[in-house]
Amino acid sequence: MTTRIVVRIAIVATVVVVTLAAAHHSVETTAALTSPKSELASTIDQEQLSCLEAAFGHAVPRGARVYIGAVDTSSLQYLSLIVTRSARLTADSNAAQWVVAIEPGNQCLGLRLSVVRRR
Amino acid sequence: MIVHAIVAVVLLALPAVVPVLALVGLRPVTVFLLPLAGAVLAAVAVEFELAAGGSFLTWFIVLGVLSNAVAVWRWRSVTSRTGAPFIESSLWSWLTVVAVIGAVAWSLQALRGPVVFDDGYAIWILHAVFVYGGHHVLLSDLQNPLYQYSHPEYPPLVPAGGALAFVGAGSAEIRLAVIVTSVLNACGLGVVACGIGEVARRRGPLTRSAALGVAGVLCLIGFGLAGAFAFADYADLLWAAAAVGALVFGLVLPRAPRHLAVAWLCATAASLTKSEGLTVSLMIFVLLSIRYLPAPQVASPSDSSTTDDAAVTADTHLHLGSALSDWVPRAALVCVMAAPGIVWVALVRLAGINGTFFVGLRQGTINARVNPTITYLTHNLHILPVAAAVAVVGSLALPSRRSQLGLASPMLLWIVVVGYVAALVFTYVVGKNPIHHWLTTSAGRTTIFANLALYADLAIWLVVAVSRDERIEPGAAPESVEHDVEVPLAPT
Repeated sequence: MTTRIVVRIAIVATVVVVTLAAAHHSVETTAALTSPKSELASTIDQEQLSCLEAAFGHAVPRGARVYIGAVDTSSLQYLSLIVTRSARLTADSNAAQWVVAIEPGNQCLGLRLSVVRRR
Repeated sequence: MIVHAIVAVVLLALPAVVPVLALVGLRPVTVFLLPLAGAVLAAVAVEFELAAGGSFLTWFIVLGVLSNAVAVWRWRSVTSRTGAPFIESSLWSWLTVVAVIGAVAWSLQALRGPVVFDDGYAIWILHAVFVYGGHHVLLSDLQNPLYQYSHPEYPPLVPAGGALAFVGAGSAEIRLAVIVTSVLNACGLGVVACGIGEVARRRGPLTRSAALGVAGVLCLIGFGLAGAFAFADYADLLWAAAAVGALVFGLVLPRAPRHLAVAWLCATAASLTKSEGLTVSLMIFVLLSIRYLPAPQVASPSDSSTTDDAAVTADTHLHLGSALSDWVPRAALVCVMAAPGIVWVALVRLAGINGTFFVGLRQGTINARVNPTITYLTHNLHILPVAAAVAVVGSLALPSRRSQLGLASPMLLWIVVVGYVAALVFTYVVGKNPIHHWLTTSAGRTTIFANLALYADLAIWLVVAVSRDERIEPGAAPESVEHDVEVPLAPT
């Protein structure tokens, strides 16, 4: 009987310590994500994407066939999403009406959208 | 934006209200199950959109009407025998809901900042835009080689939730998709927490207080395990929480039709959310079929008064060598339950879309991949030794207390966790991606399920250890006997 009580206390103590430690980590994570620094960084990313998207929407008509030029993986992912939301991404450069790429520049917080009309 | 987000969640939950009430009744878990069940419906609508043409919204409405019609028919047939559907009246149960909502609301503060990055953009929001575009756009974009990096074979539940948010807003607003996925994450954790609350059902105030506290803490832990990924439209926390919900309701709590219904909905949600979720769901479905359709020799029909004992006996006797006649109904049950997840795999294969993890040249030998895989997974499964120690000690010292609560053997939960970790090791070792980069970028996310399941196991052991011998809450209502009694689904 005493053994069982000791086991019960040991289990309760272990679980309380382990779960509270994990919950504390979670609270810290949420606090970090809601810190002004983190929110500012996220907002800059979001504004950069919005700016690039606005530049794309201004230059390329909706539904146009678009080819993405030479870009790194991260830019490819950004651009794919931007293109897909208002145009048609094509893998065939010959079939494309427009070619777009992201380059360093001052247009959108350190980046610039390059847009070339093919035909 | 907030109005559009609320509209999106309501749109998601609305068609699931009657079906979920018919299956589960009005209980704490119902609150969190509604958006998840709606998301399952939306994901199945995407399957129809891909297979049969038309728009996502059309199929969502058609499936919503059909499922509601079936639910109303079932509701009528059940209530004609039992009276009104079950409504939870215990104050403790609803306090659990308040605690869970408080815990997830704290974590959801992180949505104040627009945190979206990498896979959020590259996979899930992108796929939501595909779904939103209708059949032709969905099919052609999934087949477009330029989108190969986005894993077009990934299941459609998260994109479906995003697409429904786009429908409500009238345009593809990225933030809406992110908010809907985060709310679904919270709902998955809410289901798990309600499962912990169910462990202490009809026990004394001390046990119920412990269950309530640890349920809220478990929600915080779930968000902590996922970190920023929980708020960036990643699918990992959602499938993990849904799968753990299925584990708790299906393979831990006493056998009951309503628990089976919750387990099926949650496992289906997991299978339609991520490929790993399908793997885990198949394991859960197999174990559910064994638990709910035990071999006839396990317990005789005359044992009907000792249903819980029979359940425990069945759980601890997984006879692999049973006669074929025992396994045919089980296989049929597994096929029916797993159908939505398997249909998606079949559809993408038929469309010529294949996964990339096992395609191409493997970088490094298999031997060279084993050590880093073990190192990274060990580092990320830090809770494993503690959970194993508690499970062993608890199983040796408190088996009678666990069976008094009507709980299954902890072995079932551990079989799924160990099976999943084995599948994970196999994928990393045999897969073709550069191993260090792959592990660095994914091991923290692929281990969320195992960690959350182990924390849930610890929480259950806490409730077991706190519970006293047969101290049933004196004020507990007799409740709807037909709905609430723990009955087997098949003769045992």
